[in-house]
Parts: sequence; structure tokens; C-alpha cells
Amino acid sequence: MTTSTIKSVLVVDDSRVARIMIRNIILGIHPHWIITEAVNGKDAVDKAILETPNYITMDYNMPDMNGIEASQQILQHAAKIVIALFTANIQAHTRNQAANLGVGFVGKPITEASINQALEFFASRS
Amino acid sequence: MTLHDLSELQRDALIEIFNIGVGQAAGSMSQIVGEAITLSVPIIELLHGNNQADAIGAVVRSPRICAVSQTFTGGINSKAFLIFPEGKTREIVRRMIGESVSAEELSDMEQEALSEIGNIILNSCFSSMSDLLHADFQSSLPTYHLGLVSDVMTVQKTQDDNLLLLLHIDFSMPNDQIHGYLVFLLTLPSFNALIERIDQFLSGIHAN
Repeated sequence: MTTSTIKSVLVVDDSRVARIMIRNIILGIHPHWIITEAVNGKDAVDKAILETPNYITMDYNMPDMNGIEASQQILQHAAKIVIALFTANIQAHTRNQAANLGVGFVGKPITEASINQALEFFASRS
Repeated sequence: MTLHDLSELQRDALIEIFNIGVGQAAGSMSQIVGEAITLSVPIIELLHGNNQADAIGAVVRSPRICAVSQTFTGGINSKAFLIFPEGKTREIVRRMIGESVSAEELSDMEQEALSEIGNIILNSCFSSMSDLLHADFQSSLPTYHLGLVSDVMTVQKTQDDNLLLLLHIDFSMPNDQIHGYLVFLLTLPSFNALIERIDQFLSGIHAN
């Protein structure tokens, strides 16, 4: 394991259960990756700018600031971070917003398959 | 039993289940109306059930409601309602059906259109519950109600061990916002079965 293969991931979700699931599944696949968490959009923006992780899993439906708004703000400050948006809301409007930002789009619920989809998106952008 | 009797993780899991269900419903509804629809993160309350009509009336703050109900059976049995204050639904239905219909036609189609919306939202919630909790549900066809809260909810009056899970949801469409409610009537054994399933789910993800 070289340091270049160890990646850092910021997991953003207002649900603690969702954060636990994402963390556990990623660590099951990449046990050495560094995972940190943010509990809402604003926390995500603050931590992304401070920590500049390689990747972010971003929940869409959160109070106050949704995942698209948070992603926009993050990418303005740190364009190199690769973000995958997790949402149960698969409407074209949301999908287009994500695509315009260069953000990946992954359907909820969180499962090993959906996490793998996000990991593949991360790898394709690295 | 109140929501405070649940652990933080149990409450969180319950909200996440409905959040996913509501998110999926927003996606489906957006396909129908051809516009962006945002459904807010639901706020959940657990109410005791001796007199659901009074409880719902107090929350909805309208004596008359428009509602769609469906019964779900399986390991967890529930009668579920999508509720709007009367008169607030016309705009959703108009967008669903389109500009070309007359006011009279719109009124005729309102019942059918709202039943479909109720069907989508309620089934999305149960589908999310089914996915995460590995519980299978069968659902009845949607039933449309329009009238006094006490008449719509009257069938439940005699059962005194019911719990009522109430979710507040904002429906936002371009230029419009409508506040609606989802109500899940659960008997105490069904509520306990739901919590048991949530515990199994949490233990499966090594959260406790």
C-alpha cells in the first residue's frame, strides 16, 4: 500500500445512519482510506475547504443547503475535489444540475452497489 | 411511547427511510408534471392515537382536508394517508394534467390525479422501508377522501392502541409551495415490529 493509493473521503449526510453505512462500506473495500464526516451542507463546505479531501460523497436532500448548492460552493474553492451526489430523487433536473457541475450522480438507498458506483466515478476522475 | 423513547440512531434510521421514500417520490412526480419538484426533508412526530382526528385537525389547521389513503399489510401493518388542507391541491393537479383542460374537467380529474400522487408517495415510502428493512408489503388501492377531518379519520376512532406517525412535507414547484402531511397509523404491535426491524437493520450495519 503506497500513500498515493490511500485516499481521503468526506462523507456528507444529515443522517448519521447513512454516514455509518457509507463509511463502513468504503472501509470494507478500502480499509486504509481516511474518512471524515460532515453533517450538513455548511459543515461540508467548511470541512472540504479545510481538509481538501480527494473525494466527497454528498447527500442531496438536507435541511438549509442541499447537496448541489454545497457542491457548487466547494468546487468554487477546491475544483480538484471529486464529488458524487447521493440522492433518491432521480429527476432529470437534479441529474442535469449535477452533470453541469461535473458531479457524479448515484441513486439512494445506500448499498454496496451504489457505493461501488461512486468509487468507479471517483477512479474515473482521478 | 414517544419519539424520545427511541434512541438517536433509531430515530435517525426512521427519518432516513422516509427521506429516501420522499426523495424517490419527488423524482417520480417530477416525471409526471415535467417540472422540477422538491420535497423537503420530512419532520417526524409520533402522536398517540385515541383521537387521531383531533390530533390531525390541530396540526393541519384546517377543518376540512383532502386525503388519499392506502392500507399496507405485511410484517408491519399500517393505514397511510397523504393529507392536504382542502383547496390547496388544485395547482399540483393542474400541473400534472396540463394547461389545456377546462376548470370543470380539472375538477373532475382532481380525485383521480390526487389518488395517483398519493399512490406514488405512499408506495415510495413503503418501498424504501421494504428495501432497507427487508420487509415485504402488500398495498390496497388508493382511496380518495374529501371532508371534515373527523369524517375522514373516523374509522380509526375505536382502536385505542394506535400510534400515529406524522410527517410534515413541503412540496415546492417553481413559483409554488404546498405544505402536505403523511400520516401512518400503526397499531402498537406494528410499531414495535417496525422498531424491531430497525434494530436488526442497525445491527446489520454495525451501528450499535
